[in-house]
Amino acid sequence: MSVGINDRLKLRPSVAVVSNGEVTEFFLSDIRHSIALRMQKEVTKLLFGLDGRLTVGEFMDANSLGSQTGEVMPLLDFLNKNCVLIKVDRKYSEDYNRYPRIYSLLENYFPTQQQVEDHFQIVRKSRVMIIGLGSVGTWVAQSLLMSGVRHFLFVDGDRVELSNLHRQGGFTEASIGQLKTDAFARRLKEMDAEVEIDCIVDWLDEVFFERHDIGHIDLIINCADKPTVDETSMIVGKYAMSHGIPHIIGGGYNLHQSLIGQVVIPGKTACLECFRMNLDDLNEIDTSNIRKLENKNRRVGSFPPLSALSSAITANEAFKALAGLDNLTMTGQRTEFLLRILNFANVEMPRRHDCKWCGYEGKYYQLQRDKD
Amino acid sequence: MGKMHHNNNTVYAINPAVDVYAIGDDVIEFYFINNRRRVTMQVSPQVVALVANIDGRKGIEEICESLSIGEKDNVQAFVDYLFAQAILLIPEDMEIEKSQMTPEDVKRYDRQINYFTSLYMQSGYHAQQKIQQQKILIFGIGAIGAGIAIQLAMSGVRHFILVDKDVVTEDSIQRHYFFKESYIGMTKCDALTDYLMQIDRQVKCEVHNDIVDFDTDITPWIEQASFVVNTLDEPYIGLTSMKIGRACYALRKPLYVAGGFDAHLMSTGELIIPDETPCVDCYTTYFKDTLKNWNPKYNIEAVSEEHAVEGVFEVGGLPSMALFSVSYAMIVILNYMVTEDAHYSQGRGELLFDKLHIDYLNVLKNPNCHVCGNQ
Repeated sequence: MSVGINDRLKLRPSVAVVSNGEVTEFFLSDIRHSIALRMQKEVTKLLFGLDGRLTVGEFMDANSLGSQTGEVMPLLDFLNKNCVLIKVDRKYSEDYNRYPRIYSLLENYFPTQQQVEDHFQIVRKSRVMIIGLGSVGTWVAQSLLMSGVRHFLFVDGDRVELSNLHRQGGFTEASIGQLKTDAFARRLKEMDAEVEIDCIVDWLDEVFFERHDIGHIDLIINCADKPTVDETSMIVGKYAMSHGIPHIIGGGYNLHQSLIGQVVIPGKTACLECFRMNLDDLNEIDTSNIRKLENKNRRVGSFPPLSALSSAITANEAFKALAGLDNLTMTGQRTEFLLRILNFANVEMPRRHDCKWCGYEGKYYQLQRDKD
Repeated sequence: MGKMHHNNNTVYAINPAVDVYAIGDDVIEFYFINNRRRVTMQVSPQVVALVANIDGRKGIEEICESLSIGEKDNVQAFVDYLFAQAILLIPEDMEIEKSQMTPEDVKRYDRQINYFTSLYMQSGYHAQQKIQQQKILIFGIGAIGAGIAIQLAMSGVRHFILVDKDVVTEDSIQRHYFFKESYIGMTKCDALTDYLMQIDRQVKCEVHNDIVDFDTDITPWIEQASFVVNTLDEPYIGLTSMKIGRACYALRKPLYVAGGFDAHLMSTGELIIPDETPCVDCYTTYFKDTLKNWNPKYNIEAVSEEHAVEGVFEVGGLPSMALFSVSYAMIVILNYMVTEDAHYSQGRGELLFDKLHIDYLNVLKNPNCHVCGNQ
């Protein structure tokens, strides 16, 4: 929708406007995106009058510029489409008072307040399933609640132990001995009494989804590593692919603490089977002359901030998936955070033509063959 | 690794977080599961057999005898090397360090202690005790300051000094991982103290519901602290940062200037160690220089009156962005507490919302700096 003279526009307060000679830079400071335009200083100055109260027509008349409205419209339209200016086509709902930062973040991606409100309400209405309330699931769940999500389904069969407290967010000494699902639900209700939480006290196995009716789910985040991450991931992957549910396979778990969770949008991005095939190709080395010596007291540890860092990225990605933002980073990509260099290392993991799940002959989704 | 009182029959064990591979007959590789460090060596088949027999029960001499290995000096040099690389541990020494902790703490921090043993090239028990002895001063109990306090308390830190004057509000839910609806109206310091004590009843916080301005005397707080974290962005980040930075420099205290503030929601922050890293003034000079043509204006007039009154700022961001900056800071802070290695830190870097790569700024010590420079 182009900008019309009856639209109310606002120069968003988090946009930094830097005027240097003939060039004006609009810096979307929340997401650090920059747009530079060659324009007259007077015009830049004029934009600061756009506060969302007057319509474009009224605003131009008030500045005695009514006759030039037509010339200014393409600029206003461009700045609106790039989220420098937002259309104030409605007042935000009451939710804005609690979540102004989340609304403002969305304003970087949608050009009208109506769209921002709609997308925030999609987040509010979504129901997120988190399997495994460990050192990743707890941080991700809290982050999503704090971002506006208010319907959760938690799956965990464990009780809280003293040794959980140093790495799993939200548990306290008083939680020790309680079911993780109960203790964690109580914690989230302290944050927001109206949050709706369903819990399943059980472990993931091949027939989990036959045993439990999980209802409508918008996003599944698998953070379960019992019996192994590979097994739980495949169970979740199959269910999510056959039901068309976006899913994230959380990283940050034992032995793969540095791994960041992978996001799968069924039929659109590389699926778990694509990942498995890509990994097999990468790991194809001759192991016939390698022998593993026994380490009798083999015990790996856990580094809490590394799991929390992985959780942070997973929660970012989960929010993007729920809000319908198109800037997901963890699709078709395997990423690790390397402690040695304090940076991320990314390897592309593209969707596979020969994938049994989502390739040409895929059993869940089929890639379109090129026409020629 | 610390002490070297080995004799010929010292009992060693393989680090629990190291996998050992024999490749062919004469290559041995040690793989640190947690941080992917590899140590690979070409050795004789006898040495492979020697390593395979190290089990935490038999002494080296006993193993050598059973395998008919002579060359005592070479064996000792090899074992010393593996010990220095933290591939081998001496269970007896570990037991002594373990006995210096309460059984409850040994159990509580068990998993991270295991990790520390491989990550920090020293006994994890020793590392854990260093963390527990810290007293942390935190300026600013916002999303980042409080987040760091929570993760530090989880890791074993039990003494805090907290400085902030603000109060928990309804919209704190989108920023503070300690948030409870029942905390609304309490000062952030008091609310955080309550939350930290629920995580660990032994936590003690000294609270200053105060702002830091020109005449605040921060020296007594810094003197008491073993580590300082600054996240204050009021009244103005440059001012508070410089004041705190200079005081920490004068008192030789390690300082972490945290990231995660507006327009830098996923920045890393930086570790500041007197004379080892650039100081806060070096950073300030760097930014003054690189940003000299950057005079941004913001349309603050457009903040609606009702929200301006309530102090609701129209800046966007997610709580998980703060969690990133907090967790990153924790990795660097814990590393410094245990190893005192100032050079692990990469300085200030920035992560964007839609690209998983941190761009580091590479700020250097300024030789002409009037705080830490040559003069």
